[in-house]
Amino acid sequence: MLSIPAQKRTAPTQLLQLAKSEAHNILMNTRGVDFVMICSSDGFELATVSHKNYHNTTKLAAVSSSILAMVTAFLKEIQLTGCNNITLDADNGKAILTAIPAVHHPMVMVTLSNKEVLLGQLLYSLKKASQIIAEADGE
Amino acid sequence: MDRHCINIATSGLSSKVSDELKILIRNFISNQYGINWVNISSNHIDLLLINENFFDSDNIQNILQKKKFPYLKISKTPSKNGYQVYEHTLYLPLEKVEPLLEWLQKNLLSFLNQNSVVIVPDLSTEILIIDEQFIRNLHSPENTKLHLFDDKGTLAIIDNRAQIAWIEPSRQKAHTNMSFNFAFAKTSDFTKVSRKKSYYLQDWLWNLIWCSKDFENLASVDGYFKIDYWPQPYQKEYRKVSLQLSACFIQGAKITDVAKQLNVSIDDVLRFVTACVMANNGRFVSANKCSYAPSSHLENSNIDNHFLKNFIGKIRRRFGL
Amino acid sequence: MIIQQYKIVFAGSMGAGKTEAIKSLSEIPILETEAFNTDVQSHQKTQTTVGIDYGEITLDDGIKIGLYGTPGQSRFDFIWSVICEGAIGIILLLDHNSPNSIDELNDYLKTFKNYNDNIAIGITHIDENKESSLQQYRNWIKANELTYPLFFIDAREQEQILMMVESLIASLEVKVGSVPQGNNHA
Repeated sequence: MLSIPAQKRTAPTQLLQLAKSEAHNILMNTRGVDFVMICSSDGFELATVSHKNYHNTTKLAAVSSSILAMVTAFLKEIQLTGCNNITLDADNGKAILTAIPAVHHPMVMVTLSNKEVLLGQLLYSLKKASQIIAEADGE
Repeated sequence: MDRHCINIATSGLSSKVSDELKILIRNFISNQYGINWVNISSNHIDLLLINENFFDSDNIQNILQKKKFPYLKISKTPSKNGYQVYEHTLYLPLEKVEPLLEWLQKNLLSFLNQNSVVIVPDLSTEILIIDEQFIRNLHSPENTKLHLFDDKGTLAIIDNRAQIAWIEPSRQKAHTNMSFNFAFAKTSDFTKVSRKKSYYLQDWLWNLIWCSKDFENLASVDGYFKIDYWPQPYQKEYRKVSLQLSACFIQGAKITDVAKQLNVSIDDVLRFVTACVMANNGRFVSANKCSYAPSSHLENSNIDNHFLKNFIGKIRRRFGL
Repeated sequence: MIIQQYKIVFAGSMGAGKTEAIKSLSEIPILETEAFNTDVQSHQKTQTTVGIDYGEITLDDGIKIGLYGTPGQSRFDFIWSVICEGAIGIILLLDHNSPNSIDELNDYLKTFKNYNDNIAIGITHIDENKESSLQQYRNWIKANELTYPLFFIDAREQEQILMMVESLIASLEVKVGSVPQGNNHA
């Protein structure tokens, strides 16, 4: 297995800028979305765009990566494939964790919204954004 | 005490070959003789094991002329006629050990038996007392490199500053007795040990003394003892008892209480304490410095404890512990 | 003391060998929650645990003991307290190769002893750093008057991990006075 040189482990600035831009699009174009964060799959915050102030985004990044990793392991056990999204539906809002399966720099997108958000539209936008970012990393 | 010790020199051998041969020879003759591994310049040599490529050098030939001792040339290529040992050459790889042992019997041991040579390495002839002073000196960081030995020869060289031990490869699973002693390590002593692998001194010393049933007990039965850390047992055979004893003595405990509660013989408990004393781990304390309290019969029959005991039994069975 | 859930937790610094230790004991292929490691300053390895690794052993009456591996970095500390609750004990592994291994030992112990006091400490990768003395750990234990077992191990070796497990068990046995009759003499 080819090992990636250490200095290339962190996502390059260009890729991050693209990811942030995609996150920004979702924030601006989907009503009800309050917060979008991009993290590395090992739980580091990379970029955040939001309408509201969320404390402790560092912790949020770590927790999100953990949840996604555990769910991925769970899915492997029950042999479900192609699932890149977890939606958490609460009384006062929603949270969506999206895995961005970029080849060299796998990431997680954390989206927080109010309860009224149009979920279908949001999930579609997140899927598209994830594809764009993943393709950019493959180049 | 009579000590029959022979000096075996090696020259030009790789450490792998040298270690292999040392272990074999040690196992063969250790009941009768102690062994000192010396180098070619030693004054007294009883047997020389030498790389066949070095044999014809002037230096070696001169030595052999002056001092007639048996020698065995070590060859890395198998012999053409299929012998393992032929005349004065041992052909590697060693597929059968019997030819070598027969050779040793014929060329070394029977010769020695005739002469009844008694060699006393530079050991003190005073009666050795292992007391606090002895142990203090053994562990003093000022005594950096010490040569540890007993009546069978070298055990190890220890470095008190780096806290490591290099051991004589044929005494890896060693035990010793009251002839255990030490002296400042000389340059020639370093050839007797293997520098390939070093051991953490405190644990190696603890395991050595624990395995030495002939080592006199340094503890009194009615004493209280407290260790500073759990010694690390090297062998599975005594791991369980060692860990249980550690769990008691790390809190400070009365020796007889521990023996009774763990259902371990008092001899084993005393040996554990002796090994800790020799490894400079812990000290005898007064009762009020001890917090180990054997549980009462009442506590033992408590439901939760009963469940726990059962559960622990199952874990032990599962892992074969 | 009641054991709520049958589990042994493996905790400690990044790269110390927690996942390897569980692999060496587990009857089942372990459930790994690894992610691509971008924190090369902490450790060079390519994968790191971010969730909970899970392995299992079965006792003779069918009871299962879970072997839980936790991520080492402090940003995942929310996992530690949850997982340690009611565990049989914690095996804390530290990497001798780390430049701050004593500080790490201090920090991890300070945190984990609040969750569970039955802890066994294993120092790993000792062959990779021969300059640094092993004595520092035992000195530290002595200076702080701690009673935890501390051993030098290779986390891939089943027998050595078993020694860690056995030290947790010995501590428990002595605590509840539960040593069975007919103990084998050495």
